[in-house]
Amino acid sequence: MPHVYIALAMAEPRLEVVELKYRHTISPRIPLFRRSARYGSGVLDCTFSLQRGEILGLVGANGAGKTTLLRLIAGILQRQAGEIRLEGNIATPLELRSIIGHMPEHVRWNGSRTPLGIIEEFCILSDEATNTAEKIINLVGLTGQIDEPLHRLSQGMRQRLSLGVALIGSPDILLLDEPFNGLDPIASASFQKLLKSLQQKGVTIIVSSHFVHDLSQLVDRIAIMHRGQLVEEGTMEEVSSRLGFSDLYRIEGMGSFDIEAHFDEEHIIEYAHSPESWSALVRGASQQSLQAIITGGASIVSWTPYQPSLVDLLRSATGLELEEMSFEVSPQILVPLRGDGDEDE
Amino acid sequence: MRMSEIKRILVLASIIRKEHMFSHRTKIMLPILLLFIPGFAWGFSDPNVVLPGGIQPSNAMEILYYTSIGVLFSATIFAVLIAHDGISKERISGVLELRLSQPMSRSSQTTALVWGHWQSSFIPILACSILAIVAIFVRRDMLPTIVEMLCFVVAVGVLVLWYTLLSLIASSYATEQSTSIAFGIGTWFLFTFLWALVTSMVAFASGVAVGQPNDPEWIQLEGYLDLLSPNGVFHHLLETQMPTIERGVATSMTIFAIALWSIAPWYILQRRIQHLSL
Repeated sequence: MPHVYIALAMAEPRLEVVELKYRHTISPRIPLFRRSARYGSGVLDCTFSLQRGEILGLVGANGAGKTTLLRLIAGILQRQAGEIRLEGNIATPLELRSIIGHMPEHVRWNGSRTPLGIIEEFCILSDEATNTAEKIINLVGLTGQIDEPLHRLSQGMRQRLSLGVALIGSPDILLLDEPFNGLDPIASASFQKLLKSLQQKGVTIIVSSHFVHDLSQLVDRIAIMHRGQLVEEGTMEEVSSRLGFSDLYRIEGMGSFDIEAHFDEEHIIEYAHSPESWSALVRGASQQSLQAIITGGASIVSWTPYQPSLVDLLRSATGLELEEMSFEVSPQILVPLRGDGDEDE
Repeated sequence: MRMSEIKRILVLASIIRKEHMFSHRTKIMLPILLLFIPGFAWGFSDPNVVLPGGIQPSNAMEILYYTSIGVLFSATIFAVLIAHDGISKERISGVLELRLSQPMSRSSQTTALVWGHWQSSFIPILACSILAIVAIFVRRDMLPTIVEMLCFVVAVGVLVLWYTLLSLIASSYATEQSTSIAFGIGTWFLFTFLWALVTSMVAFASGVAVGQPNDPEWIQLEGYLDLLSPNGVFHHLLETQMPTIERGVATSMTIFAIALWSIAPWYILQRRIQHLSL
């Protein structure tokens, strides 16, 4: 019988976020009139779960609520509704902070203190032995800067220091907000390798990043956020399939090709051609279609299932065009996509 | 080897202290502190000094009492300058977010913050106060009693604590540096310069003759209104060792005001940090 209990316990997700809600308060112009405070952007009804050793990529346009979601999970902000569970048990903010390592997006380390001093201080804050500080410094590649004043560190070095702080106490869950900012390509690759090795040790990781190329190579699952809500969540394949990318094919060929003779107009997503070659992105290009094209005399060079990028998924999930994404940064924007009965306004 | 919560608070406070004690702002303020605390004591220790009203300080505690004017001008602004960005600076840089994501409770972190900033201000001021006592001894060959010295040190300590707490509260509200320093200096200005105006206005509204040093009604009103100002409570505490000064405020009232001025801002700051969103 005990084996059954162990099996059941192991089946619980390491981290479970259930209908999490938090909205920032927009302070009234006159501080005394608190009743006139309004709610602004935030996070609305976010639900997802992660198993031990999974890496979740959090993507979304600026102001989508990624940082707020990470701060809620990190136990920094107090949730207004919903639950965060650790292996099935509702966790308090203090419990969350005990097992979560958090790397915020912007930490501008400055002053005359040194990376070693900072790591030692945060070891005290985390109730960890300060003699682990040098190991962490080595782990994040700051050995050469161990006694360098903070104001002399480059942006990449500062990022490494923030990561070092997040790694204090060997956290079970790691939250990384824009970790690739300021990292050079080698540091970025080395950072990804470090994350993979942490994953193999069973660390659950959530990474929010605009560096979608780095992210897509790293994550097991993705979560797409838009206006404070999770609009898609799952493996890349699941999300691609739900967003209709699973039956898209890229066909490239030489010479001339009458695409409309082989595909209906609504199945042609993209078609480009020159006198020598052509390229088409079509929906539902089965082997029969391919056979028909070849029989028709067209010269096909390649026929590959289309691998959507994270940008494609993001655009498809949010319905936004690139231009709109770039400019939709207003902090007041939070238009509920789903109904929410207990809204205050 | 893990540390106890109290030891962690003390270590974190010592980190803040070390950072501030050797900072540029301390180096800039140190000559001002020296001028205003031991400098005033040196001046008031002159055997031939005659203060306005024909007052001539006759013992060490009286000299310390008059030196306290220098403490009010310099120590308070020093505490404000040390603590004004205690929270806002880290909030702006993002370090506060990292700090609040650590498993140490926010109340312990706040205690370390207050303790560290208080030490950073109090230690140089204490050193200056000791120099003031030395100056009195050198010029007048007299020393305050142990109780008088203790009273002076405690009074300076709580005064620095109140200004530290007020500055940290302001800093917790500020999202940029200028707001917190404006609040800190504004508070200092109100209690150091404008309080006399507030007292006069209240006296006028109450029908009490303003600024009559021999009018018992004015003296009592001024004494009670001083309980509402940290500088006034500081003077009330010093006056417990000055038998010649009687302003009609019971010692128990002074002790109550000290407790209130210490507990209320501390509570507000703790509550503020508990609910702080970034």
